[in-house]
Amino acid sequence: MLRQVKPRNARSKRALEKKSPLITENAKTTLFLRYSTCSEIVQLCLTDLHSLKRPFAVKFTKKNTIHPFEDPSSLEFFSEKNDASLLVYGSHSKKRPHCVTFVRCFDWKILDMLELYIDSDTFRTLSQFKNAKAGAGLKPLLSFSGTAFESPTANAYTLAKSIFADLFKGQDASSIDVEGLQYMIHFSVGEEVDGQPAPKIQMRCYLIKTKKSGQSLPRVEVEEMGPRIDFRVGRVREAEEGMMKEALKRPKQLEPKTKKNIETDIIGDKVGRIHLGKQDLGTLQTRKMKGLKRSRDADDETLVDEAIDDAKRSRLLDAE
Amino acid sequence: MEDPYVFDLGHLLVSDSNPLVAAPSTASATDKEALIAARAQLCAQALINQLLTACPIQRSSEGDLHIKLPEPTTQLPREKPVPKEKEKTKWDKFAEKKGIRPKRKDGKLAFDEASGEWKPKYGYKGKAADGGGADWLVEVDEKAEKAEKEGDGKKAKKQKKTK
Repeated sequence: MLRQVKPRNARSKRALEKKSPLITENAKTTLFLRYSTCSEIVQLCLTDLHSLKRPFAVKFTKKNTIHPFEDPSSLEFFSEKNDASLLVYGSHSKKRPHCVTFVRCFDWKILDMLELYIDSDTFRTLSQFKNAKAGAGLKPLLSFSGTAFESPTANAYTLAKSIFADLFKGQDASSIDVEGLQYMIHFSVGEEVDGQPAPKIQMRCYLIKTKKSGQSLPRVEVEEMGPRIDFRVGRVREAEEGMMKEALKRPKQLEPKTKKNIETDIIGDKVGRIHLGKQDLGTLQTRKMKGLKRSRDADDETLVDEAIDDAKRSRLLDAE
Repeated sequence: MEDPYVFDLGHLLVSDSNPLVAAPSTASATDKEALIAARAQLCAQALINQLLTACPIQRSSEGDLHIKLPEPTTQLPREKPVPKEKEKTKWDKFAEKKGIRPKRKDGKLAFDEASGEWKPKYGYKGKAADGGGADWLVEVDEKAEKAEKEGDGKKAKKQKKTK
């Protein structure tokens, strides 16, 4: 645990409050790290992911001797110090070539980890695609193709989907500008067939271009902007049940408030009730109601005639 | 029948659970990429269509089109635990019990009966600006003056006694 910093002025107090648990959380910061041996491909990959994740990303340049699956305490320290709950750790060894580990934290403790190996043949960086890139800080469209991502049992691919969605979703927004829908990150995975090696996860980033079509909806065209990465799945560390349950809890304040007194009719009209108090009949003004003056023995016809006469007379009076 | 796409518009996410057509191993790299790109194009088209049809669109003051996104459906874990409810201080508990509510600010404007307008109480074009208002001249209240004098007398008596 880090030493507790006591805020000495309003600015440091605000900074501390930003890092504390909040009801609606800030966007998650990602920390990019390297192992003592790290191949060029992995370094390029880390740089590209860092540029995709700006401004919510921190990149360390120094090498660290950390083995995430054996001893993650050092990673937890970095996560707490930098207020980063997502970590991307790159390493390269003979046994695990071009290895990138994605780590997710909850309350500064490791929640889950996913190790992926980059395919060196198909890797392409951002700079290798000669076209304009999307602006920094935009919210990308995400798409996952393939049955493995949707498998009912939790496997490495469902974990990968969860981690990628968390990593790339950017800031939570309640509304978005149409101009801001500029790029899409597409993950596809082949079919899991027994006997054959596990399918690779293919990550591609495309720029979204909309063209006018005949109908009201535009025609969408995709242009690859990079990076292009194929991942092979490695070791996985799933989250503990209790910790995951705690992490998925939603605060009570975010639950939508049910509006009382609103019901829908059978026809589909919105109906509400207005509650008036009891009317005090003693104070009811009966003098101005001509209909109440007539005796009850009179005929209906005469009543009507008299009503018409009254109306004529009152109109004459008003005219005067 | 193909599986329909599952959308999570709160996260701008689309899940396509249709099995991917495996490219023949003899296909070149560009062909394989073309297949993936085609798949991505379908997903992007579906997502944009869904966004433009299912979500309300408003035009902002600057002339941009804003799409109002719904709540996200995929549950992603939080960064930090839910904050604990802060304990109410002694004053908070007392105020709640007594029914004391915080004083609301009246604002700067006050309705002036004479002119029938909302005028500022102080500051620019305030009361001081228009000749100090009607109550710059106050008549002497005889009774109040006398009571004050007598009140002073009593105080003087007390002081003499304590001395």
